[in-house]
Amino acid sequence: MRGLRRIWWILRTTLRNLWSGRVSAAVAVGSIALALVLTTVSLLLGTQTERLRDHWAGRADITVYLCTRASISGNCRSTTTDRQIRALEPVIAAQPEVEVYWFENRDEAWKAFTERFDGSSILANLDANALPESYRIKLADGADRSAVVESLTTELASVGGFDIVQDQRETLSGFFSITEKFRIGTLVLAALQASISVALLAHLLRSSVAKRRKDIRVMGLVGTPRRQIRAPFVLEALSVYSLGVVAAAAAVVGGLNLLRQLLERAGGSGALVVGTEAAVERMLLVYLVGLVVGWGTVRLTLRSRLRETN
Amino acid sequence: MSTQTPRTRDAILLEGVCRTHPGAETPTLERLDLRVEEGEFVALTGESGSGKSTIIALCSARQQADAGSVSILGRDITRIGARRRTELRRRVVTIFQEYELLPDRTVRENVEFTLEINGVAAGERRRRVDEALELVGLPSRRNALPGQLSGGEQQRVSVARAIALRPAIILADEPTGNLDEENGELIFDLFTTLNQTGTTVLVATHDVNMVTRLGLRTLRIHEGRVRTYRRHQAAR
Repeated sequence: MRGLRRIWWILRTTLRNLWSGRVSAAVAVGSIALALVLTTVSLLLGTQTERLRDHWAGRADITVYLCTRASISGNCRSTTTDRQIRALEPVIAAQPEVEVYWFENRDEAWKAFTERFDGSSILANLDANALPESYRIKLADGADRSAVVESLTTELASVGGFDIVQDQRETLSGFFSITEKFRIGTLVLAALQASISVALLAHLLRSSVAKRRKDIRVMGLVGTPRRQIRAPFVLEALSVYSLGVVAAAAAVVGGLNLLRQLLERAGGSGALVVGTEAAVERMLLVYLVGLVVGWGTVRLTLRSRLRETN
Repeated sequence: MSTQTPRTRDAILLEGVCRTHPGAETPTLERLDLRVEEGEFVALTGESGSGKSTIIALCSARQQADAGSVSILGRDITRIGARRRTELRRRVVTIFQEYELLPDRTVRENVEFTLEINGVAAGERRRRVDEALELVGLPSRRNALPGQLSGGEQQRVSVARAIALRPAIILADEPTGNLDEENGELIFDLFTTLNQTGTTVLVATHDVNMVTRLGLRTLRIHEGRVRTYRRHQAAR
């Protein structure tokens, strides 16, 4: 019973500490939440970039689009015939840097397209006939994509029946270099914000200890175990961190949902946005690292501030 | 056939204790021997810097001896760990000149605080607080804040806080240093009452008149050693 009464005292003291320093605690919660959100977002941006790259480029590095009735390039006079499709294949296969290639017919192209834009209003205005057939090419690691594109364009011209040879990665590289810069910027901001959060947490604890200095002295004099003296401060820090985690999780999950809704409203596919499961995985990792950093902060702060209880 | 008097246990026993404060050139205590039996009321006197407060600090394990040994209630505490120090301080309570009260809590809350953190049940706490405040003559001031009390009353609250813990030993370091003669007498009378209920009391004080009035066993500390021992005849 004595132990339970001590635990009850620790909980009440923790709440009292939090209430008396509520402004500092709220600022620390906000700062921790922001640091966690920024770190999670920087990790998610990496995942999101990969997802978009795969989505838009598929698994292919280079695509040879064949002619449709709607093709307007000088290479196309009419829809590519079966004979031309068969004639293009050995030219592609002969390229030494091609690792693997496959033909994507209209049905397959439509299936992939509907999967990518599932739920989007864009599907209502199109059908399978609007999509070109293509040869999709995956190159060996380290291959010079622009050289292969040039070589294929020249060699396929003698066969005819293709619209354009497109370097998928090059098409998207401008966009992805921006997202990469944004990701690094977010990571730097997250590191700064994490440093501020550590300082705020340490300040919060120092203030709490200062406010209760007389209590701590009396407790030390009448034989209160050191663990009991420290417990309310540790719990205070843990509560602030937990509130920060809850706020950050709500912001990340809410932000992803909002992004999905905005995309869908704009005619895009919400499925383009990184999934909640992947977000939760990253969040757990970030929160665990944050917990370790927070624990270190609490230990160092209390070690220096509660020395006189020895 | 010989008759043997049962030997009283030592409450406090210091043997050959040396203590030099960090940075000091001369030792504060030098091969000091001191013995207080259970149930005794002993006064330490001597001029400022003689080492009285250091003896009190050693007995409550707030300081450690450089050499020699310190035993409290039969246990060697010369090199004591955190856990045993905690146990010791539940049985040995120190009262200071500065009262050490919590300014934002009432008299009742101040006395109750140390019981609460030690996990004493609410009913038992109320009973002990009432008893202690009754004994120090402050039941009517139970809801006052320390700032609303005189110095003498504040010191009586700190004594009440010590009484409520029911310690085996009370150590007091210049408990009347900030008080006038009348309040000083009240505090020493309280210690006498506590001592009569079996509590061992060791007081470091400048107040030789008070010691003489109460007829206490007195150890005069000079340059870190016990120089004279005398038992005064009670003046009343």
